[in-house]
Amino acid sequence: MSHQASNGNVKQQLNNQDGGTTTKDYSLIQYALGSDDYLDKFVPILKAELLSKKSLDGLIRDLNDISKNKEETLEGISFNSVDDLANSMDTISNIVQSSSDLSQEIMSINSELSKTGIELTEKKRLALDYKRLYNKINETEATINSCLDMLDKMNKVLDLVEAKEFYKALMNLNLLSRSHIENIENFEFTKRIYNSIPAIKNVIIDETLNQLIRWFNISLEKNLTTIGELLFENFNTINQVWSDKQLEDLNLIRFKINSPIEKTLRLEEFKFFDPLRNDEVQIDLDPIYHSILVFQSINEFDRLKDDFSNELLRKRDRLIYPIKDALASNNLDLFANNDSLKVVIFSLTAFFVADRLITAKTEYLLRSKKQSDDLFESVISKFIPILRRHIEKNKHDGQKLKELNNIIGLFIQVLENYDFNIDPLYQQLMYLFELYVETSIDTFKNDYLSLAAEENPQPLTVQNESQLKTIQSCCFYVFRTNKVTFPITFPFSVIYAATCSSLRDFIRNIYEFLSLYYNHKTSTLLRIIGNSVDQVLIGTILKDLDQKINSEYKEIVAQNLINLEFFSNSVIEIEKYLNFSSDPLILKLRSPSSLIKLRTEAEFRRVRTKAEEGMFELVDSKTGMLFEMLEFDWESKEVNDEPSIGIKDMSLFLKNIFMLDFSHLPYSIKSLLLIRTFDKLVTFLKTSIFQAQFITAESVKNFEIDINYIETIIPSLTQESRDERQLVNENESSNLTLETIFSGLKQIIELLKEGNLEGYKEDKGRMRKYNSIRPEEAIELVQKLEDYQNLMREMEINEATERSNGDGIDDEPTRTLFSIKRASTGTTTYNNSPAKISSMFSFKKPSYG
Amino acid sequence: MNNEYDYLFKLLLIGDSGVGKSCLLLRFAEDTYTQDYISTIGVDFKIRTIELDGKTIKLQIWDTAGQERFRTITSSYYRGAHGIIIVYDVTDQESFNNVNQWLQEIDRYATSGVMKLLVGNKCDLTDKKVVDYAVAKEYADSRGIKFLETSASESTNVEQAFIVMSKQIKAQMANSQPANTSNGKASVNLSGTSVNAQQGGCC
Repeated sequence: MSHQASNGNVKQQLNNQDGGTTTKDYSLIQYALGSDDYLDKFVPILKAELLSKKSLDGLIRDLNDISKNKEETLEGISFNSVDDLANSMDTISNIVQSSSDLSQEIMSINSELSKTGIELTEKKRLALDYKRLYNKINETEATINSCLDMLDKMNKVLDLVEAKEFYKALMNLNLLSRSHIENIENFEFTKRIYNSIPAIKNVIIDETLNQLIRWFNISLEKNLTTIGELLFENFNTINQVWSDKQLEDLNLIRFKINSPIEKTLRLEEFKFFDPLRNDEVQIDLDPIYHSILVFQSINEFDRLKDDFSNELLRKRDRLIYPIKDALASNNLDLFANNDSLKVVIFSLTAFFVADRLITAKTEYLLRSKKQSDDLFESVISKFIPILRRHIEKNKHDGQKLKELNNIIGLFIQVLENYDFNIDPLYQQLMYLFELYVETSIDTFKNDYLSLAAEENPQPLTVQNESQLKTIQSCCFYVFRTNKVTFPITFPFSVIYAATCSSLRDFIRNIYEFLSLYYNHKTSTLLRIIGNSVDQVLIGTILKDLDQKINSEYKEIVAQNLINLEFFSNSVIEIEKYLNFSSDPLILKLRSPSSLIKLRTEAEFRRVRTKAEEGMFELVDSKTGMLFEMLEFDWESKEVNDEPSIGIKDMSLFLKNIFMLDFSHLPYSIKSLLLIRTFDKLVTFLKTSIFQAQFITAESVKNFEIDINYIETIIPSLTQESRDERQLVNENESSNLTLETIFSGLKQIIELLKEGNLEGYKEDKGRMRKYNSIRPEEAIELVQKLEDYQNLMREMEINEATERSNGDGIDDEPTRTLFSIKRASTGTTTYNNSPAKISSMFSFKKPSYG
Repeated sequence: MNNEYDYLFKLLLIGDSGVGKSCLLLRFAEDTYTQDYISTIGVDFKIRTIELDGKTIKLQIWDTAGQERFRTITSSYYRGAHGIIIVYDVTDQESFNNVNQWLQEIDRYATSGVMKLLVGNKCDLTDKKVVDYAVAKEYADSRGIKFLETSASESTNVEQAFIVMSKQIKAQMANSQPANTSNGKASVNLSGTSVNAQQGGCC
């Protein structure tokens, strides 16, 4: 209780203190002091005191007050209770001491607390500072991160630009431009970066275009020749493979390269051959794709299209610069040789195909097919005059034309495969073919003329089976030879066989020339082939034959007439060969709707007719000359033992030409020649008789000997060295005519031998023996005999008179002895007028058939 | 007789194949030439009229094949010939070597006394010439035959050869028939005799 009272006092005391501790605090102190562990409990009070007042002075004062209170209390108590006090004095003393100690301690504590509080405050201040700093650091870090992020993005853009990843660069640049940069927007570098975005964008665009140009320059332009070469190689192989396939299956023979059938059956490795990406060339189209993405993303795709198109045109101009230059200077002779042309064509092919591929692979976004076609046509239209000039320059060199055929042919095939309009180029190919044909014709002509110059116009003889087979295989004329014994002599000379062989080569070369690249205008091609064969046959062979059949040499005329016959008969076989041969080379170009029709046959017929006429003229000329040499002595008084030399020479000559020179002539010609010749001979002999002024009986006998001799050669002339061309019926008919050809002459001889007209006057006898002698002729003939007799009688009388008159011999010849008057026309002329004849004859006029 | 000419001479060209007989004849008869080689089949003939000492002489010239296979045929023409020209090729020794055989052919088939003339053709081919003129001349002289070198291609001595031959024949004829003229003309018939010779023999 006392303790509570004391506490109440303290409280009061405390309350009385100025500005002292509150009652509550006071209670707390009281409580703390009253506690055993007051020191521990006092700490919070100290803290609170320190916190609230930042000083323990008050508390200490309070504590002193409390102590004083307590002391007073104790004194009171002591007075009241000395004993207790006395007792308690020690205790109090102890307490005081303790209190003092405690106070000291408290003081110390206070001091410590005071010291700690300052430190704490300092720490707290520091902590606050640190916290502020920390926040600042965080803010700075965020800013720095933003900066780094921006820089990173910027770097990435730059890296991508450097790595030519322009589209990605552009995308990143867009990201950069959309980045949240509020915290760094005021930074200089941020401003700079932001301000540089349009410039970087422009750089990207420029670099994109530059990259495209570099791609054009490095990837495409520098590889054009290689790409072209690869395209050519690819099509070369396609041609070879297709030809092999055609030979394996002849049903495919009519289908050309690039036809739907061929394309369908084309091996995939060739069908899908990519000239821009293969074992040899790897051209990445990424720059183009990038460009598209870049320009699409900046919504300037049209600009790219224009720039791309312009760049392509620049490349075109660079490519065709020499061509344009040549056109401008009108010096079209641009290529030194086929190789230099080939290099340009490789480049052009690659350029066109690359354009086509780029156009297609960019899905016609960048360029339309029409643009690609227009570019192609603009170049080709300039290239064609140069190409044509080059073709023309080589027109006389078949080998070079063949090379050109391969170059231009493959060029066309490649372009056709990529769906370009090949018509203008194909026209040049056709022109090339026409020139090749012309050259082939010239070559054929030269070969033929050289053969003709060396030829000895004699029938060809083969010595063995092998030679026979060679001849049979090369000759167009189909002949059968049953004879198995050698040697065999053909009617034609070696030039026919050699020319047939050359002609086969000529035709084969032409078809070989056409075999790969000529897929269009088949009917025109066939027409050209037909014309070329016509030209060769007419312009070379027939021309030569035509010339030869006008020769002065009977050997040449005869042999070439035979050759002409064989050539003429070969025309139909050549036509069959061209239209129906099973030779794959010819089959390739065959068109069921266009057959080759040679006009040669009519020409050959014309020349054959002319040749026959020439032959007749030659024989006529020869026989005419022979007749000029014949002189019949119609006033002879001697009978010869044998025919005259002239008759023998003439007969032998006729025998020779018909048996040797004309032995192989077509029988129709030969028989006609025979009849014609002998008819002329008969006419000549008749004329000779009628032109004679006088005729002696001896001369008639001599004439009979001559005629009989001539007749003996007829059977040998009509013996045929037969071949399959000759007709037996014709032969027999001709023999019959020849056997009777001298019947008229023989009737005259009979009449002259009879020496008078008695027999002739009898109708029966005349019709049987003299049916070919007209009355006026009979009279004239007999008159010549009588005239001679009269002349002889007159001469005898004159001689007798002269002898009786003693006159000398007359120097003047009384008669020409051997003169034979021949009318220039070769027909007999008669001096007797019809009136004179009728007055001489009193008998009935016979009827003549 | 025919009043178009005074004399009619039958001449014969013989010699190896390829020596140029036909070319000589073509040059003489028609004054043309061909490079082509034409092997004569059997015989051929041409006629040309020349003027000699005021006389018209018609020459009937028979061109014979040189090939052996035609020998039978050609030999038939020797008979009645007034003159025979033996032709060899100056660039072909063999053809000259064979002249002797041709002379034997003449002896065998021709009328005795036929006039002969040795002709070395192709004399323009000097770089290929193998038969020396002197050798041939000596050979001809030794046999009493006149000799000429000719070139049908260059028309050298061709005319001369035929004229020499014609002169020989005419001279021989004149020697054998001094009075064979009638009406100022000399005549021969195809048996190789003149008009008078037919009565008195000739050649």
